[in-house]
Amino acid sequence: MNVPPVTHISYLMFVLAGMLLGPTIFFIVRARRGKLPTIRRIPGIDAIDEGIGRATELGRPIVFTTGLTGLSPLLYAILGILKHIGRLAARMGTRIIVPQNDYEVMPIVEGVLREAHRDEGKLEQFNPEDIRFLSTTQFAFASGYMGIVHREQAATCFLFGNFAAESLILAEAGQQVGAMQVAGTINSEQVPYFITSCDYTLIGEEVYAAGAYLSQDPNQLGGLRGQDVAKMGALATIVLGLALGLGFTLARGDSTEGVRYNSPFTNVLYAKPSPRRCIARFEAGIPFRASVPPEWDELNPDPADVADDLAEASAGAAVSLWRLASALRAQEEWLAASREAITSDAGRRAVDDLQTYLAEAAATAEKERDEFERLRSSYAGFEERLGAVEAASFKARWTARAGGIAAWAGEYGTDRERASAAAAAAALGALSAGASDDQLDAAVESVRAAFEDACDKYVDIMSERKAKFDEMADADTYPAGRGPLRFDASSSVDGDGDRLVYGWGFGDEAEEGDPERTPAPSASHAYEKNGTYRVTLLVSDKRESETVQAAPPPAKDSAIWRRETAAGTELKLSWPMPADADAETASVTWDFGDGATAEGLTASHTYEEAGWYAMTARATYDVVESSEAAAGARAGAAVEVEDALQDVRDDLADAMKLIEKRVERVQARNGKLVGLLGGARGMLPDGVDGSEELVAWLDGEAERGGKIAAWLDELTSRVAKLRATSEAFGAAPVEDEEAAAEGEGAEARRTKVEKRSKVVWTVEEEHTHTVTKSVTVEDAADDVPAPWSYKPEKDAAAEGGGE
Amino acid sequence: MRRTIIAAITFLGGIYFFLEFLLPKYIFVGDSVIEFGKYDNTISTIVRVVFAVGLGLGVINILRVYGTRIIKKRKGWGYSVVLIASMVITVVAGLWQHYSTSVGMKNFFWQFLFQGIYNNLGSAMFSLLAFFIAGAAYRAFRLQNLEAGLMMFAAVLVMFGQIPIGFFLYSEMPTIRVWLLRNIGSPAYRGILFGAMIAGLSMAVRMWLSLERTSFGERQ
Repeated sequence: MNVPPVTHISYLMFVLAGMLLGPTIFFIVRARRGKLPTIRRIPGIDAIDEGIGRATELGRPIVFTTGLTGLSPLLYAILGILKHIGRLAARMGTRIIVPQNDYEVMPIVEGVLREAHRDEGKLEQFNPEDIRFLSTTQFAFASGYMGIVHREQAATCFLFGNFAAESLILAEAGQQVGAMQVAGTINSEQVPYFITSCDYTLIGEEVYAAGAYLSQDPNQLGGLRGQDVAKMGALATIVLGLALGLGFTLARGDSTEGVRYNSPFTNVLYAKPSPRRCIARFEAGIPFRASVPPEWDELNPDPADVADDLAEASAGAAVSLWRLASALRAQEEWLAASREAITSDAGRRAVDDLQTYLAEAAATAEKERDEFERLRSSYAGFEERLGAVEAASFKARWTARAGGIAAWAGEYGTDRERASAAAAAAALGALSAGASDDQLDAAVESVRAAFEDACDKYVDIMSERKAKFDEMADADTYPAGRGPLRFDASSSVDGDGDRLVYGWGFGDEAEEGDPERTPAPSASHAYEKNGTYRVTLLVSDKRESETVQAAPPPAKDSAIWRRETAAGTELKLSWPMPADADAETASVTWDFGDGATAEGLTASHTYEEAGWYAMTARATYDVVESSEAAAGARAGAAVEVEDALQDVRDDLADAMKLIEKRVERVQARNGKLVGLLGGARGMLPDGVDGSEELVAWLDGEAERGGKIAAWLDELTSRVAKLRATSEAFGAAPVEDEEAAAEGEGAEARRTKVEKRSKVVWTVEEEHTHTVTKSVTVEDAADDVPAPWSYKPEKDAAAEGGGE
Repeated sequence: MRRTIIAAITFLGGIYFFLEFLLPKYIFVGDSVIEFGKYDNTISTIVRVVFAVGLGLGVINILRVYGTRIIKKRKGWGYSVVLIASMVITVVAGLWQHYSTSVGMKNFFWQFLFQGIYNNLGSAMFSLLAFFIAGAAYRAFRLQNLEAGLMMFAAVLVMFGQIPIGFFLYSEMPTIRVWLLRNIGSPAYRGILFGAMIAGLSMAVRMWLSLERTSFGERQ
């Protein structure tokens, strides 16, 4: 940016200053030396005295206003008038009221009036309350002025100064009360209003003249004369400039539109001293002078001006650069000084102080940070609680599945599956640890992936069913006469782990039709003739029959099993009777779940269709207890029993104490947990995704907590009962001898027992797979080594040889 | 002594602003730069402080003048109570607006005073002007002498040039109005302004040189 180096200084400014200020100063000096100028009479100014006289005659006050005039030369001109009026009023004993609009003007006005009264020796008449501040806003001021004029019934109103739209309101107020009004303003727009409403109006510079006229002060009179001369000079300049400009324009034949800009005088006056010259002058110490007009040719308005302008602009740019360079120099010096200051001792101390301060500030910041951390962690406590609840929910949902995954992985899994199960377990651990949302998401994702992986694997495993010859190539050649060949199919697979049966076809006349099925996975066969044979292996999970024992363990009255079988397999069922049972009294009823029933200790049944069947077996029989054995046992054990009882009592007492303590602790913990769950339930917002599930879980947990509490109560009461019983037992021990005596001679005791067993049968379709292979038997040289898969069985060979 | 100090300060202040206006902002002398506008802010601040003191004086003056009226129960002292009460209420409302943190009430009092009362009263006063103009125009248009007659003639032409019916009567009426305003009115205005401004300049020089002593109390 090229800042013009010269702002207002121009030849025009010098000319104007000289022309306007010169005469003023000259005539002031002249007047002070006694040569006072004469001033023509101005009717408006004469009317001022008349107005004061009128007010005095009517005995009503004078109202004087300076309008909206602020601190300005105009105010001082008005103050001259005011002082004159004030003195006359003081002399006549007439009250003068001055409503005020400007708080800065107010004290000045007051001072002037006070001095006017003092000058007349009537200071006691001066009433400061008559200089009233009304408002700085024009209409509020006008309103107040109207009120004063009306209330005080002003005889004369003087309005001098700056006025705006309120001028007519002020003037009409005086008009309404019939006051004589003298106005004076330099605001030409308001002059017509004053002319229509006031008796006399001073226009423009007459306001300035009035003070001089009234005071006859040589300074003011000289100034007045000087300004007139200046005005005439200015007018003459205007006329001269106009004439010259017009003349030159006409001489050059230009359009009159461009008079001002084509005049060479304009160029002279408006030309700014060249910046280069300014700098040169300053540097040379030459003061500014208004003279030295540039050469005529240079100023002639021709294209050369453009070059001048360019030169000026480039000079301006140069100055800017120069200034920039100076600023940079100053900056460098400052930097150097700063560097010096910093490296000095005082500077070092200052730096040390600064560092200390920074360290302290850092410590304070650290403290504040800790405090903040504390607050944050206390808030995080809440979040953690919520997170724990959520995590628990996740955990509850996934635990069952992960259990399945782990089981499958353990049962079928390769290392990879086990690893994935471990990952799932780790993920579950993360879930239960109340991890962050991201971690939870990752964990859930990991569990899901592991689950799916395991499912895939499971499906693969379950669907893998194949018959397979072990360790035999597809087409093998075997030497003849080496005994029967042994075939092994033990690596055949059934995905769901059913027990398999195998059927063999050896491809010669010995076997025709459907092969017999056998649970043995291997078979031997001797070929009598050389040739190529087609060996068929059939693997099936359907067995001809299956023997099942269905009974609950002796201690239990009922039990449930899950068993699997294939459709068409004959189940051979039996109820095993315990040794002390009386088989003759036994009665077993079978309900196979598919509508068929049977009775008897043994039964057989075949499920023809695949599906689920719940088979129920009910057995009743008598258990016979030998009386001698019972009595002997009782007698022999009496002492031991007593000792043991004492031990048991002691243990029981300890255990009860322990249980009570534990119950107490668990109760407290449970109560807290229930409270926590309730709290979490309360904290949960409504209508959030997945919140129903969480709410349900929370409610379930709370219910469980309630149950636990009830159970704990029951436990407490049971323990109390137990203690009471134990104490009673301890107080009155059993009379073993008597009991033993009673036992002697007693008859064998029969007890009727009823037991029930339920088996849920999963009946699958038969899965059959067949595989064939070719076997060639031929004569071979002795030196042919036995193939690695060739497994002669000596026993079988002996049998085969027997054939 | 007092007058000398005031004259000295006035002169120094005047010369500063005179040179500040006239001289370039930066003056380069050798390697150094005289930055003349550097003290603008300082001096403006001083001027503002002086004005603020003036404001304080104004408030004290009001309290003194109208307070005395109230205390001495002068005629119309009730108005003075209203004035002082209005001032206090306005000050309180202004402070409330400045310091209040209340969202709803922050601007309430101020707006109530300013828009609810002050603006309406101002508008009421301004509307009076219409009636006063009519009254003044009636007086002005009485043909008392030649000047009044010329004034009325010019006014009628300008009025008809302004209103639609003037255009309806004679299509060149607006042109006449513009011609009158531009070629008769404006030069007259400029003449008045020119004289007033030169007079103001002369007055300013007298004030600057402390030759105008109306306010300093030149005793006779």
